[in-house]
Amino acid sequence: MSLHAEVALQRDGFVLDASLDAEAGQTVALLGPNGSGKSTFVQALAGLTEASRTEVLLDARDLSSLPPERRPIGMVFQDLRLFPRLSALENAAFPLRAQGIGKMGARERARALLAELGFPAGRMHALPTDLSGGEAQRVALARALIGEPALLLLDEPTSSLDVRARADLRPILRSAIASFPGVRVLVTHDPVEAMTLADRLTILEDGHVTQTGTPAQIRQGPRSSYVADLVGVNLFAGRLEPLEEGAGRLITDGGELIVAWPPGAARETTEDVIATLRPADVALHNARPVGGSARNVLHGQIDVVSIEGERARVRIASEPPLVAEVTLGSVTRLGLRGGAEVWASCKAVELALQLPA
Amino acid sequence: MTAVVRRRLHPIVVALAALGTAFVAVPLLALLVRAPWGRAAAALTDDGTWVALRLSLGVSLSAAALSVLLGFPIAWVLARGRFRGRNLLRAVVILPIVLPPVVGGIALLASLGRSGMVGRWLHDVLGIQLPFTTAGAVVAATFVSIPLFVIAAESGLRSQDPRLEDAALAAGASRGYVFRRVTLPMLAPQLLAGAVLAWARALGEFGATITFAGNLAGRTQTLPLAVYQARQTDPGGAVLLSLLLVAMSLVVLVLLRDRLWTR
Repeated sequence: MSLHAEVALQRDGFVLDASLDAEAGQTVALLGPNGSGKSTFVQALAGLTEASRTEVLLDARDLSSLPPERRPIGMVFQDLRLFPRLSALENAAFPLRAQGIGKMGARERARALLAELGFPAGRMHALPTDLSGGEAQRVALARALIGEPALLLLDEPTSSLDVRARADLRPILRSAIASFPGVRVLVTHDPVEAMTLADRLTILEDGHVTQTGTPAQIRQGPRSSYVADLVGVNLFAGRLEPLEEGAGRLITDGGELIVAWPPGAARETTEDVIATLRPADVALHNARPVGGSARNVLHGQIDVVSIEGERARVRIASEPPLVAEVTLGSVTRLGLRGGAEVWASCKAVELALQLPA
Repeated sequence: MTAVVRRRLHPIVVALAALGTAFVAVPLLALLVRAPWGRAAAALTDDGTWVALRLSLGVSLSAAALSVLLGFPIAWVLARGRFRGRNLLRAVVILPIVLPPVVGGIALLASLGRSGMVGRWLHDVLGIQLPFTTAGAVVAATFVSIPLFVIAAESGLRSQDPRLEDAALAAGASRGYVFRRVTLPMLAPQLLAGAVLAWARALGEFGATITFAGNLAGRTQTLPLAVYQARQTDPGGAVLLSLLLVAMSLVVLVLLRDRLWTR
């Protein structure tokens, strides 16, 4: 199954004209800054907004002539939109009940799905206003998944959460997405979320698609400053092994990094751990740094230096390879240019870890 | 309200509120003082009282039900429609609130009376006669109660978040199912409040009823009309019947208080 979607509309001077392609079993992130038209785009896919032209081809079938309730779509809204008079369980069971499935059967499936998403069993009958952000988010996710739609639309599924709840939810989101067999479209303005959850990215800026590709492709060749900025995140995936108290070693295909052990996590070797590192947190030196607090000191040749405004992004073929961001002053002072040898350092705590579900 | 507002109330506000309350409450208390309590039991168990009470309940509940049935679509169109003349439509529908009820009665006679525009047809073609019948009393009471329901329902519909209905549609629910399971439950408190207000208004209806339906014991003589008639022959009995009306309305409004005013 594959999705080809096109939306064109004009509203108060804003022009949205974008298209998106996705395959079943694949997650496509629609990534863009706030106000770029991402939400409007998916609302149009769901049939919830008027557009001058929409085409939603799911395989050969055009959904755009169907009313929203007939489209095989499950959606998580940015503002969740749980039904205030229905309990968590009833909210999750809603799409089944709407299809005419009996109350007991629908609730049973909703209960199982909610449990799978880590929703506490004792909170099934709570009303949405009494749910925590993470709980409400799980209910919204369950409601989108339970009808087994062909197309899953996730509109900023973690944006309503605080940082901590977001970190809790992300692994659950990741496994829920991974086990969803249909086409997945994730709307987000968070590059980390896009990079960790999506197989392909479609970048939307000011109503137009500026770039599409796999995260790696996009990372390698940003075509706008927005893209350059947002893909500037260094991402390392691999096995986490305990080191001394409070620290661990992340072993990736490209090399090893010392990281701070995630608070509260069991001290055991864990696979599929992802660490992100902001390029601005990487310090560069033209000699091996000594006596500093940085646990990670990498050595390598500079691949390329790209100047963006007042800053420069320096890609280093270290083990693992990484990107650093420094001021133009540092470029001159350290003599940074392609081919030059350089040392990069960062502290263990600057690597943000995400454990698998 | 003091439970909600934590700050101490200013004494001047309290004094003014007390004055306003007295303005409403003293006349009602005067009824209690004036009532010939000695004959209360006899008057209230009197057959005539029971007939009027039963008729009043039947007429006012029917009028409330009709107000809901006829008023809800109007409220929906007013709240959700985008068309020219919406304000005019709202003004027309709400007009009976400010109209003297007797004017409403005359208007009903002009339209639904035996020789009225619609009434003639109703009578000649369908054999239905409304003036001076119980059905006519229901029509008169509905005429004056509809606006109260429409106002409550429209404001309820307006305060509703249409994005929730979108979410329900996206979850695959038909429009009917969305209405039953999402729209209606969220709207229920306002609809109930509107229906109760309409009922209370219908229970107290006098002018339009006596003009359009007359004052026929057992058929159109509701409690307010019975009060009016008793006043001329038995002022004490009129006070007792008035108290009965006051008590009924008060009980319902007190039971409804939270739903009605704090939403």
